[in-house]
Amino acid sequence: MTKIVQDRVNHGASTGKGLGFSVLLLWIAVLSFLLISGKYPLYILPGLWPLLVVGIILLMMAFFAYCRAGSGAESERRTAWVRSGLLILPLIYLSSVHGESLGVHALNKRMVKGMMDPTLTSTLDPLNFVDGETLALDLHQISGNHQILSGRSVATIGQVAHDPSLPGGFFILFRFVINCCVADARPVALMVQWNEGDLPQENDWIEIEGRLIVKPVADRIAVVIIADILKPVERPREIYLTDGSL
Amino acid sequence: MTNRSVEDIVHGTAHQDPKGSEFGLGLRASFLIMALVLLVTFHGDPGLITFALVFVSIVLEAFPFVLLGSMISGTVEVFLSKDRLADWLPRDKVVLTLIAAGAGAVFPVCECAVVPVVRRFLRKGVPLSAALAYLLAGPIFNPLVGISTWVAYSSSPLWQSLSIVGIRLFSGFGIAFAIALIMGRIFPGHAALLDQVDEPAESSGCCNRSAIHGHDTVPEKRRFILAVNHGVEDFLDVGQYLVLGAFVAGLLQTLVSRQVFLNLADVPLLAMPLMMLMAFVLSLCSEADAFLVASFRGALPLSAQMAFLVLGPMLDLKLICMYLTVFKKRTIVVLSLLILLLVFLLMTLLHGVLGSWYGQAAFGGGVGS
Repeated sequence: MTKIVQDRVNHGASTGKGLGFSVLLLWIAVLSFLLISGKYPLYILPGLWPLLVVGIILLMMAFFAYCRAGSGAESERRTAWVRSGLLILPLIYLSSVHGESLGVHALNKRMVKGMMDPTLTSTLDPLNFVDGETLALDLHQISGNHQILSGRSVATIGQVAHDPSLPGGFFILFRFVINCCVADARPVALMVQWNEGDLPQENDWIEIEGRLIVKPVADRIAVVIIADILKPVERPREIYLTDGSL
Repeated sequence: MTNRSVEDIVHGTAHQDPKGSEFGLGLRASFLIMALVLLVTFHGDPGLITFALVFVSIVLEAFPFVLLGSMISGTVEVFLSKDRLADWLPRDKVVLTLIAAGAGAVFPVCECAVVPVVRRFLRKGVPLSAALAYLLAGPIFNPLVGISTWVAYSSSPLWQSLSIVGIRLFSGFGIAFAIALIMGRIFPGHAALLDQVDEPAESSGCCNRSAIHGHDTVPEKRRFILAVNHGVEDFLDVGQYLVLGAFVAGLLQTLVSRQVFLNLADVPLLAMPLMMLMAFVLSLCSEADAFLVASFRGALPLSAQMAFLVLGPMLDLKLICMYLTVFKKRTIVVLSLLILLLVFLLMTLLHGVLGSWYGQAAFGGGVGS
C-alpha cells in the first residue's frame, strides 16, 4: 500500500514538475512576444512595459531554479493538470482575441449618462492657440476642454459608434482612457455631425476635422464637432489614451 | 524522484495544493472546462472579445506582482528563520499589529503581491492579527496609492484632493488595524489558517529534504535556488486563484453595465453599498481605481467614492479567490463581513459628519468638479 501511494505521488511529482516547466516556458514566451512585438498596449498601459520585463526576468530565474532544485512538490496528477490548465487559460484567451481592441460593445457597457455633456474644466492653455489654426488634439483633450475650444477648428481620431436616438447625420466618436490596464478603461466620446455623405461603419477608426460647438441635439445640450473632413485611418499604435494626455 | 516516508506523504507538504480536496479540484476542473466551452461557443462575438481583453489584461498586469510577491515569500522561507523573526518582532501583539498596518508606507505592496508574502509570514509564526493588518493595509496605506489618488483628483482644489488622499489612506489603515485585532481575537492561534499554511515550515516535507529544511546548513548558492523554487511553487499555487478571480471579474464587467450601478446609486441609501459592490466586482488595482471613481464624482457623494476606494484593495473577487490559498472558508466569510461592515460604518460616519463640513457640492458637485 505504501509503495502504491509512493509511486502515485512520485509520478504525480514528475508530472507536476513537467507541467510547471511548461507553464513557466509558455508565460516567458508570451510575455517576450508581447514586449518585442510591441503588442502589449492592447492590454496594459504602454508605460508599464517594465512590468513585463520584470515578469520575464523572474520567470526565467524561476525556470532555471526549478531545473536545478530537483524533484518538485508533491502534487497528484489531476491536480497538476488542472492547476496548469488554469494558469495557461489566460494565454489561450489571449491567442483567441489577439489583435483586437475594445469597441462599441465595451462603449455600451461603460458609457455613463452625462459623458458627452459640456463641462467647465479646462486643462489646455488657450494662449497656445493660434487663430484660424486647426488644433490637432486627442479626444480626451477635446472632451476635457469644451469651454475653451468652442468655436475652434479641431482635428482628432477615434472610433465610430451609432446611436439610434440621434438624428440623421449624427454619430458618436469615442476612444478609451486607461490608467493601468483595459479593466479600468473608461470611454471619452463626442458627437459628430457629418452632412457630406454616408455615416462611417461602427468600430471604424476615422480622422475628422471640423468646428467644435455646443448645441442642442435630440433632447439635450451636447458638444458636437461639425465635421468638414472625414477619412478612415489605421488603428493608432497607442490605442488607448491616458490621463497624462490632458 | 526520491522516495519519501509515509509520514511526509500523510502530513503533506508546504506546497501541496491548498484546495486538495476532491470537491475543490472538481470545482476548478469544471470551471476550466466551462471557460474553454465559453471560448469556443462565443468565438468572435464582440462580448467575448471585450471579456477576453479585460480578463487577460487583469492577469497580465497582476502576474508580475504575484511573481514578485512569491519570490519574496520564497526568500522569507529560506533566509528568515522562525527564531530570527521572533527575535525581531515586538512581543506586544497590539504594537506589532499597528506596525504591520503601517508597514506599507515603507514596504509598499499591491494586493496581488501581498498574498503569497503574508502566507509565508503566517507559516513562519507571525500572529494572525499582524499578518492581516499588513494584508489589508499594505495595498492602501502606501505612497504609490497616495500619489495615484491625488493625481486622479488633481483637477479639484488642492485641499480637496489632499483631503481625499488622507481620508483614503487613514481610513484604510484604521479599518485594517481594527479588523486585524478583531480577527486575532475571534481566531486564536492558527484556527483561521488552512492546514497547509499552519504546518510549521521546518517540519514540512517540502523539497523532499525535511532534514535540511531549516536551510541554515545549506550553501548560500543552493539556498538561493531553494528560495526561488519555493517562490515558484507559491506562484503556481496562488496564480491559479488569481486567474479564477480575474475571470469572474471580467465576466461581470462585461455583463453588467456601469450605468446600472450609477442608476441605482441615485437612490441615496444605495449609493454606498452599490459602489462597494462595484469595487468588489471590478477588481481593479489600488494604483488605478481612483481614476475610475474620480470620473464619477459628479454623480456620487464623497462617502460612496471613498467606500469604493477603501474596500477595493481589501476585498474583491480576485482577492477572495487568492485568500482561499491562505485561510479557511469560514475565516474568509468572517473577514469579508467585517470588512464590508466597517467600511460601510466608517463611510456612513464620514457622510454624516464631514459631509456637513465640506458640503456635498465641494466633492460631488457635478459640472465644475
